[in-house]
Amino acid sequence: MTHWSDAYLSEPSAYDEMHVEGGTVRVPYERVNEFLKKYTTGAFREKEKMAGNLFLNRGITFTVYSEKEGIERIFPFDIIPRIITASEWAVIEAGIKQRLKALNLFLKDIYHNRQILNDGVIPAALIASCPHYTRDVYGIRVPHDIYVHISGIDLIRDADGTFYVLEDNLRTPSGVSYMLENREITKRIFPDLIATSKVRSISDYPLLLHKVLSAVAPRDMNNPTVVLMTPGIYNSAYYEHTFLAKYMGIELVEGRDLVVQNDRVYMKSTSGLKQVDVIYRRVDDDFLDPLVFRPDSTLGVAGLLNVCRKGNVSIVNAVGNGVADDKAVYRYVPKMIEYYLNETPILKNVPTYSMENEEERAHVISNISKMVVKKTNESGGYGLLMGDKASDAEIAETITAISENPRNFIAQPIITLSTAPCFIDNKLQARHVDLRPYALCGPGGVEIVPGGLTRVALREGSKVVNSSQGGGSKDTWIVNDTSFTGSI
Amino acid sequence: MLARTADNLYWMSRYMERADVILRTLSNGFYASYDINDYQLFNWNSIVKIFCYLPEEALEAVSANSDNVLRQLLIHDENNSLKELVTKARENARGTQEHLTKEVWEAINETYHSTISIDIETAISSGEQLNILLKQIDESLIYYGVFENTMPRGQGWNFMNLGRFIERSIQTLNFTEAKFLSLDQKDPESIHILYWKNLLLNLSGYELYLKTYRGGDHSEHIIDMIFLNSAFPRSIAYTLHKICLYIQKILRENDNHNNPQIERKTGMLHAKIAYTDLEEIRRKGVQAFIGELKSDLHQLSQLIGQSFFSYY
Repeated sequence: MTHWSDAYLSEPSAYDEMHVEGGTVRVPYERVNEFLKKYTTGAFREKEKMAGNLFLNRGITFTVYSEKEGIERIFPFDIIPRIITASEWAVIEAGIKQRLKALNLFLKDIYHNRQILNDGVIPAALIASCPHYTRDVYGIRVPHDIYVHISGIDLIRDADGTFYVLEDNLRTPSGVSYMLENREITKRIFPDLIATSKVRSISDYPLLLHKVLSAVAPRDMNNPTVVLMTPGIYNSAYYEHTFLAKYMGIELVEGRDLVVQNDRVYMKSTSGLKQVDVIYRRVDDDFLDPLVFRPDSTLGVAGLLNVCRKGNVSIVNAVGNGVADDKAVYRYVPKMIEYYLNETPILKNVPTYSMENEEERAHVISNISKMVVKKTNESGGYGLLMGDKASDAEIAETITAISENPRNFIAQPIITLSTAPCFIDNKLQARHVDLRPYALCGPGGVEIVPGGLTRVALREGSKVVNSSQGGGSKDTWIVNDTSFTGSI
Repeated sequence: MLARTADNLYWMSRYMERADVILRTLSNGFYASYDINDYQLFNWNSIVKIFCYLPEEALEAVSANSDNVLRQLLIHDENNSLKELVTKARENARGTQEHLTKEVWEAINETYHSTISIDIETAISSGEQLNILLKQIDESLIYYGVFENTMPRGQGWNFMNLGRFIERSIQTLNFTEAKFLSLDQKDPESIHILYWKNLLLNLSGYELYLKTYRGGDHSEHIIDMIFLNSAFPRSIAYTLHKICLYIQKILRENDNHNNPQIERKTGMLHAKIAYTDLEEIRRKGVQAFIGELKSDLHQLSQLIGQSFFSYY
């Protein structure tokens, strides 16, 4: 009799993480495949239900704004882990470290000497027209010249399994708490599988983060006061903010808890004002300081940027980072790596067409069904057109919008993201995934916990993995190549 | 500690305490309403009035039927219902999760989920009302157990306990006031213990009462038990003692210009119970004494708010 997990069908055009063509199981997944065989669909569904309850009872929920009913939802979790081998991981790790080194140098350069523009490597007009380029931070020195302390660089795999960088998230990337909680849930539901798989640990992430935050304090002191600043409980990532504050042992503050006096930031405590040295803010630049950015913002602190300019507080990540993860600037990252480091990029970029370049634009428009068109200043999967799925009307609309403001868009050939096995509707089904490893950059260099958040496009055929667009996640295991021998 | 955090913890704790009282009261009320006797004259009216504001007619309509009382006090969207209280408590907890232990947060979160999923109509049609209440009481007990066993004895603990005992003393005063109000002018000595039984049950003090007081004038014993008996965890003597204790701890840890005023106010309130006796309370009149204590508590909690929670 065939087992339910034998009916797994992967998409022929995509790289499947578990199967090679013809249905043979790849070595790293043999243990998982064997493990699935121990369960009936009913028993496996019970595991899934148990995971759902654990998320709900722990209050691990997020908010979707476009939906009316209820504000809280569980982030869909697929219980089958995604496996990445240590040798694959080594490439990812080296590639991300290299990229972040270059991006940090770029941010320092762009807000100081602008050498890269003077040398004509990146067109100055592109930077000047970037909405996230922030003149207000020009000339501000940040501790240790670190701008990108916390990043989440999105990786995808092409049809041949090569990793590409899809996007650099250098402002306030979220999801790291899901990476950590997913692992905790897996430990609860599949203790036997994880025990025998020798998965690298990720659990010290909050401590590493705290180390980085303390190290960038502007004052030379042993125990700087570090706080995490949240927009509040209605933010979709609020759970993550509480999670990180709790496991770093720091205060979780809102803008209204802080006040600026005498060029210093203080928090309002039960015994009066207490000076704050480092703010890990999860509030966007636009809302951070109503005196400099949006005057209607109630989430920020009036005068905060000035305190930063005076060198009395460190803001993490630095203000103005958006210029480096702009989707139009993205295509120049390989050039930055060559320019600043004189190295060949380890991780490839997805080919990106500029809509300001007439030739490239014409190419994109005539091949639009093979293209994904993205707005340069949006994230979270908003403002995205998938050429193969969009209606004629949507395409026409986008083409008009492009010709009106070409700087606002870029296009990339649609990459067939790799697929991984998921348990959906009692069947084992292939779904597209990406990978967001979380890197921390402190004075001692870049550290990446071995793992990351695998995001899954749960709808069949979909390649949009963002949680705001119905995506889910998986626990992601980095497993030593040597540990694939022996059975469960 | 952040002023906002202290505020959230204080109110979270008050809401949880009030939710606990509502549940206890409802389940006792259900038991009592099955018992018909000459003394008790059980009615929901005075109980509903303690927890929510309803126009006279609506109050009558709700109080006439036990199931309506449940609908009103358990699952109504607002008006101080269990659902509203637990939702608010959780909202406060969510805003300060990093100051709660994981266990306390999970206990509140689970209480919230089980409260909002109460299916009252099914329970009513299958006669399961009491089971629903008992299940929620269990959740509440788990919360208190986890709170007691896992929370570090720091600032958060102090503010949470302050909220808890202020709420508790206010509830004790409210219940006692209602009971004395409906006591008509008949000779107090002729009133049977069953008249007081429900009050004592709501305050979880019936067993202690039976063990402590024998014979004599029940209404006198009740005054002693409720105001002066420091072995009774819901008495005014006990709760005021706790309030003073936690206020002193809070004052020690927070240097605030209002400290001397708070200290004085707390001391005076404490003295009102510590240096009084049955005779004096009777002379003042129970209603008047309750009114005085309530107003003192109100002023004290306002002062605490101004001193420690002002962050806007």
